[in-house]
Amino acid sequence: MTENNADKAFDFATHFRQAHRALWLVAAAIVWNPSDADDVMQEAAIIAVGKIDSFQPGTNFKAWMAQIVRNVALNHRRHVQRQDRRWGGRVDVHAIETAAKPQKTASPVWPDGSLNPMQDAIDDRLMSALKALDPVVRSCVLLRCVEELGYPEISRLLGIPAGTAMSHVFRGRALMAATLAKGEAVRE
Amino acid sequence: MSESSLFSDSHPDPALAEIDAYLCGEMPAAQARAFESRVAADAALARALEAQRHAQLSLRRAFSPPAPPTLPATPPSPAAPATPVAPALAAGKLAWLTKQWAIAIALALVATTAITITTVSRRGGGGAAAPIDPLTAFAAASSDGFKPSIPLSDPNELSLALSTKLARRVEAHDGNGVHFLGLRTGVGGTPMAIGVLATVGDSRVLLIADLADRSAPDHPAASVECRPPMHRHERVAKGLKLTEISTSPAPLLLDHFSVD
Repeated sequence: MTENNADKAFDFATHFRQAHRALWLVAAAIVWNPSDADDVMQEAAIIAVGKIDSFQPGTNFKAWMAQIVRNVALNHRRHVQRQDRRWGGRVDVHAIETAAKPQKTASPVWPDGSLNPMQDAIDDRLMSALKALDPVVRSCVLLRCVEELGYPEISRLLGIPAGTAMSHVFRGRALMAATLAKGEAVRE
Repeated sequence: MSESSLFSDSHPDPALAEIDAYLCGEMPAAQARAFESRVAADAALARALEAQRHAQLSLRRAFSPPAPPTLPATPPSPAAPATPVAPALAAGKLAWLTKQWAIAIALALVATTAITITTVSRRGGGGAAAPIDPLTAFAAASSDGFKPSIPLSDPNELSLALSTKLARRVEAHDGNGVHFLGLRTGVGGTPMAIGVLATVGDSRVLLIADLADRSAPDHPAASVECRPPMHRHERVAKGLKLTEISTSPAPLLLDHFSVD
């Protein structure tokens, strides 16, 4: 092994660790399932190592890696959808659980600091609402709301203009607010 | 916020833009204070802010990124060639090395996934060294009614258990309305982190004791981050980092611990 390749190998491990959270969220936004996101990250890391020579040092590693993660995640999603068509779809355990739970909503953490016992039902409703959105919109929402990334960073990661990332986030936020408000209306 | 603005991409609701900047910590301090005053006076704005905070918490509970895998810094080295190889052979060797690297990473990632699955299944449990998010940590601790996994109300027993787990002499003191409930794991921080559940008056308080860098200088209790309704306060003592999370804007429990 040449010294140059040893350096690249070291760089990959370090950069991959640093970018892992954001990349995992990109994968999760597309496949919309944490376990599937783990699978996507594994596959993407293996593909990236095989293509490491195509990465230009000095350019944005996270953006380069995010492109691979997006492609792998989209392939994974298509594969799952094909299987669903062939075998009649997975059993949606979340949907069954949600249907069995009382549809109420309130603040997630109550004034005394305790967690709202209805939180799981609320989470499920929000996730179902977001699932209907385009994966790019969901990626923007997760990167902003979970990782609190700035719009320029989201823009670089997803290869879209910052203004578009912002409007995607606002669209997702508005949908979440409307979903929560609908829950309130049902309760009242 | 008006209903008509809900899905207008080109003209986002200005209130939503402000809430977004506030929740993501992008608002300058003076502007944030002015915004908080407006929230206190405007019920509709307060509801909108609460809804977004609520949505963020839900997203964090559902999609908490696992800890990054520990990949080998260098690929596993095969037997080194005794003599220099020709360029064509070297290229072939390199391709083989890449495969070795890929296998090493795959093994590391598979090992990590086993840990991840248990983390995700706990819903809200952070990764191995994930930074502590006040809302998520408290939500995780409250998820089954704020019950400790090791009930310990006696300060002496609690001190002994903490000292054993953290390899530091830690003493817990009650009084001033402090009532200890016990210890709890899986509350964020490093794998060594341990949570202390307590009530102070009517407030529930989570204190996370985590090993810090031994060379980290001591510092007294300070509010390092506030994300209403939860507040976070930190203190470092003798290489032990104490993080208190409660609804109180001032620390309630931090000074009830001494570390030697």
